Amino acid sequence: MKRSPVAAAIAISVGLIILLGTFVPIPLFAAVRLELVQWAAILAGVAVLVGIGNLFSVHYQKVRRREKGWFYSLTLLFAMLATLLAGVIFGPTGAWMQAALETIIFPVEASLMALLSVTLLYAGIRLLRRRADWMSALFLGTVALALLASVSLPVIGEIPVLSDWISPWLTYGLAAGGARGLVLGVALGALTTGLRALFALDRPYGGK
Amino acid sequence: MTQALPLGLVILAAVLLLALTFIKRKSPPAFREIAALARLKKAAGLAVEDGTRLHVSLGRGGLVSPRGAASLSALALLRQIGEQTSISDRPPVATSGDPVLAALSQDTLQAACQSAGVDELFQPTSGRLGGLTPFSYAAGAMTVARQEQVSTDVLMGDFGAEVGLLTEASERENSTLIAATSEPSAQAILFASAAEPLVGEELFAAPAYIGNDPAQRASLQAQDILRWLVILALLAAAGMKMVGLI
Amino acid sequence: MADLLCSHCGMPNPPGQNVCSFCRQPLRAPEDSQPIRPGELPTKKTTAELEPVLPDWLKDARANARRVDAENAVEQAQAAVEHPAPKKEEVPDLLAGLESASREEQEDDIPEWMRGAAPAPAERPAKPEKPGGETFPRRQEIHWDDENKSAGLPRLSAGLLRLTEMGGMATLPIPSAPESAGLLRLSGDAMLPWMRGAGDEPAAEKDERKPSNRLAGQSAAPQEQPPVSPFPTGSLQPPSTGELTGWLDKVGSEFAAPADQPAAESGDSVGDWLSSLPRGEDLPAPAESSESFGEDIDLPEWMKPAAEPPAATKTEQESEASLPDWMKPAAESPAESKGDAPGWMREPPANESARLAEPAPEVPRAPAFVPGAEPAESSQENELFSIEMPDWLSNIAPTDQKSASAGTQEAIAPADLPSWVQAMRPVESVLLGPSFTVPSAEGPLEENGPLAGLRGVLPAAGGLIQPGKSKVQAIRLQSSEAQQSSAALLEQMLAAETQAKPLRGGGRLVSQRVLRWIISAMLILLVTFTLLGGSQSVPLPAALPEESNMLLPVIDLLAEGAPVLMIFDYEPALAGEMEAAAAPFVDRVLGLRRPRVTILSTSPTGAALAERFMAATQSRHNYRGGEDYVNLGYLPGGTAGILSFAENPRAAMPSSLWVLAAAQDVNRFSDYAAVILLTDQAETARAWVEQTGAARAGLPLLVVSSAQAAPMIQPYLLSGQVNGLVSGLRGGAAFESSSGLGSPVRRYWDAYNFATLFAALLIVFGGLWNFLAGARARRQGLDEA
Repeated sequence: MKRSPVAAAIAISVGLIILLGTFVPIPLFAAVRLELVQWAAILAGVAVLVGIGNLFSVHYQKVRRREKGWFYSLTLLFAMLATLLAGVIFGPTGAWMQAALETIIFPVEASLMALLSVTLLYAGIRLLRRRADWMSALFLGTVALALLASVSLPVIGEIPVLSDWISPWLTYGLAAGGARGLVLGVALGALTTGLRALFALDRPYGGK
Repeated sequence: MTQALPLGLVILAAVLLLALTFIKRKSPPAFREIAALARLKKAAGLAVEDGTRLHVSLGRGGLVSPRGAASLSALALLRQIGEQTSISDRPPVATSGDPVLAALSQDTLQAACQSAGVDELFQPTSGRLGGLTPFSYAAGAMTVARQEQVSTDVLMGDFGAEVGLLTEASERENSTLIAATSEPSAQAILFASAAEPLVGEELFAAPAYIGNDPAQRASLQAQDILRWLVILALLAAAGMKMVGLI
Repeated sequence: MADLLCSHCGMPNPPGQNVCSFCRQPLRAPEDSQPIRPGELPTKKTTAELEPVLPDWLKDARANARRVDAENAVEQAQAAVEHPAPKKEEVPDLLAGLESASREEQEDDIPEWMRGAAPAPAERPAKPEKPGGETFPRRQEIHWDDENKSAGLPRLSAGLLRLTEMGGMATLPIPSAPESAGLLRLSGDAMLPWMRGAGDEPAAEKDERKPSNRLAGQSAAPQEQPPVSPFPTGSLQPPSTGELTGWLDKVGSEFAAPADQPAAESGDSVGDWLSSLPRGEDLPAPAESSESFGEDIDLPEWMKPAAEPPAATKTEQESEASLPDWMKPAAESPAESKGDAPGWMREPPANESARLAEPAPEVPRAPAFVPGAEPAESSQENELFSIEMPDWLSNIAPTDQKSASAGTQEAIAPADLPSWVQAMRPVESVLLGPSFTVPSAEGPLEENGPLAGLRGVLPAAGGLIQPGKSKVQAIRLQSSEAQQSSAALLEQMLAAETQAKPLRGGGRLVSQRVLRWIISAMLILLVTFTLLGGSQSVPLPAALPEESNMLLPVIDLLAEGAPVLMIFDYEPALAGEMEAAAAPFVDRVLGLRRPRVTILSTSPTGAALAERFMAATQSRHNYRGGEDYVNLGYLPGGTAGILSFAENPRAAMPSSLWVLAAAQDVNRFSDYAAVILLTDQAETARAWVEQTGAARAGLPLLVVSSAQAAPMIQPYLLSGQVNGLVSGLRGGAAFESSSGLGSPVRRYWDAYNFATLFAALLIVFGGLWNFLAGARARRQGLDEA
């Protein structure tokens, strides 16, 4: 599929309209912008269906070719179809959907979150063995300090100095300041990336 | 006033981007060396040579969300990696946690195959949706890392805390890991679990380092210029605030 | 002794040589050497000085010639005694003395005319002893026999080829010109004494030369006529190229050198001009005696060296009259003949064609080369000119030549080659004749020149064949950096294939898994026992944090039963924390103001999580779906969906639930009394803040977030865009302590704190332990290295 100038023209024009509609208080731009935003929302919803179809095809190919782990793919396909049917028949807030959430989705994801906490704890313990430098030591020290600052001990409750002074300064001073700097850099990167897409210098669509 | 400042910033960024893109330079701009990206280039070549696969995970940021820029940058990187490794016995696999991103990753890999002249090697299942939630997406990406002979895991995009699971899976398979995300909390996880994490906006620098696109390089230069301007503006504003001017 | 390598062509030469045998360049830079410029007269040198530079085959030939001359002289003397006859000017045998070259160490008598040309013993460099006395493996005896008499000019090339056969030399070395008046000298080239003012030597003196010395020590050779130089001495211009024909180039200029050249015969035959050439009477005495020759050879007058070397014009004029017509054009332009082909090799003018067409009469042979011989006296010149003329000279005769333009060898009738030239020819052509062609060879048959009879001969284009070493061509590949890096990668991979890769260590993997299991087990046990034990030893926070305090006025300002938008944008994985953090706050809101709630989510699982939350934590309020709250479900589009909903909620979320009591009076986003956002991501909070900012128009935005997102939402709180924040489990616990309604926070609080403390301590001590272990491992690794 060759690069289509029509796709680029659509992308550029829509992007300019949305941008101008944000900054220029002209009713026409605002109305068009609103309509285009609604189209984008609809397309994003349809994209969910496309993604689900992609997921189905990938695992179906795996089952058909008897690739490694095909049984798990078969289980996924079965669960997908069952949930789809239940949702269509009983609604997204129906009892069956709630049962699926309560018994499958919520426990699985909570377990993965717990696994993540163990993984991060293990990574933190091994960090100085893998990379023994000042940054790693500072990182671990900050982690330990933040954890201790958020802990309440039996009887005494919050640790006095840590909870009152160090924790707020650490959380809303250093951490927030550092995070803001990162977010500023990310925002600038997002700005130039968006402009590249706006000027068709970067086309994540349309083939070659 | 509130609208003029961001509009001016957008206009300035646009002018810088266009000027730096179309100005002919005798030599390409020199950027600081990023070890992780150099390793990525090497890993791409090694994957082609020894017939293993590259797993590129694009994160879960949709294009219509504030995290869409990270996803766009990841797609650009996927395009370059795809062009370099499309002729491999095992072409790269892209996983994502957003449906729109999954569709675009398919299109990007197809375009990479067309660009490399190997249209027939493209497989539609090379661009996959791992899951609709972050941890279900992580679970789907982990199976790719463990079951499809992946030698290098490239995690580029918008990730949350679930990136820790992906790094752990990569470490279990003894694969090379190159990761970058725009989320600060995920960056902290990557700092602890990855050998060479990319911090901050280095995610947006990856396409410029890997490929030779002048627009990518111009974008990186524009970012640097704008960053310095923001720094100066912040310092000036802080000073003025201290003095009492504002 | 090691051979000398020529700096020009790189060919090896005997150590004693001063001039390279192949390219005729000096092997050693002479002390007083200066670069030769075109047009300059070469420096005069005696032949005796240049004797060592002659190749051995030439020396042998000269020796032979001398011997033959001696024999001829004897015969002539006898014949003269018996039958006195007018003496003829015999063409000297140019190469007659070649055979004697190898016997130069012997006590050979040289003719007087050669003594002057013979090099001085002190100057003669040591020559390597060669077995057999021969340096040419294929040296053949040079015969100035009758068969070559009619060879004429075209046979010269065949003769050259024969010389090549004899020793592989493409060109004949030219002896240096002796120091004699009227002659131009070559720098580094040898000149025959008969070339230097040849013709001055009277024939009588030449006849008087005793060939005895020449004969002594020389190999037996057939009696030959004494060589006679075809060129008048004194006017011979030495060649500048050093090639065989170079000495012939100067013929024209030397024709008129000697003043006492005998008048040319009226026949203008070759013999006439040969006999009319001046003798070398004025040749100076050689620097060293010609020990290798030992004989006196009478040179014809025209071969005798000129008395006045620079006065070539006068001698040229005088000798011009004696020259045959076909040689006159060469004599008229002596300056032009420098470096050019000899006059007899040039195209004669048209009027000479008839003369050239006449059969060439017999002329005496050219005299032998006298290596190193200095200009001999008149007697020596006579002896030189008594040498039998070579065949090719004897056969030179004016013949009919049709429009012979310069360089057109095709018009010249092929003549018989002299023996020495024939010896240079390839074996095939010698054995089988020039007309025979080798069937296997391809290409046209070479009919002329020394390569006559061969096929597939490369054309002798200028510069096609360059002597010396071929140019070294660079074989370095031109490759780019990317290619080099790819090549280096491949090289590493290939090297790695042969190296045994150490296994990652099953023990290390097991230890990692065991450690993970231990950590997991400890955490699970700690939390489980704390939960099961119902511990409540850890007190809840006493006061609300400042950001949570900002929520209370907002709640107080809410109207009872007012519509409130509640957004559930968190994932199931963090549902435990979010429900625990949001439950006390939402419980307070619902309990105090009983608002009508509209539930929305930008996550596909949000709607289900909202139902779970309402059922699990807010059941005491008995909120019923449809009446007290409506669940609109999933809002697609992310940020665009949020903006769309903020612009027009009913259009963004078309649903029949809008008509229900809980949402019936909500037409715009601003109709809501408050927005409560439950999120675990700072980006989601930012999206709602930014996209709904204009539509909210001052509506309070209350956020309940996970502990990981709180620091990023803080700026919005400080800027007033967010009106209150409940951050993580601690915020929920603070609300719980103030309300005391028994939310899930109380159940989790002790376990949460114990697990957090355990993690902090594990990081501190475990990190320290691993740091020390890693340092020890690195130290051990360094020690082993």
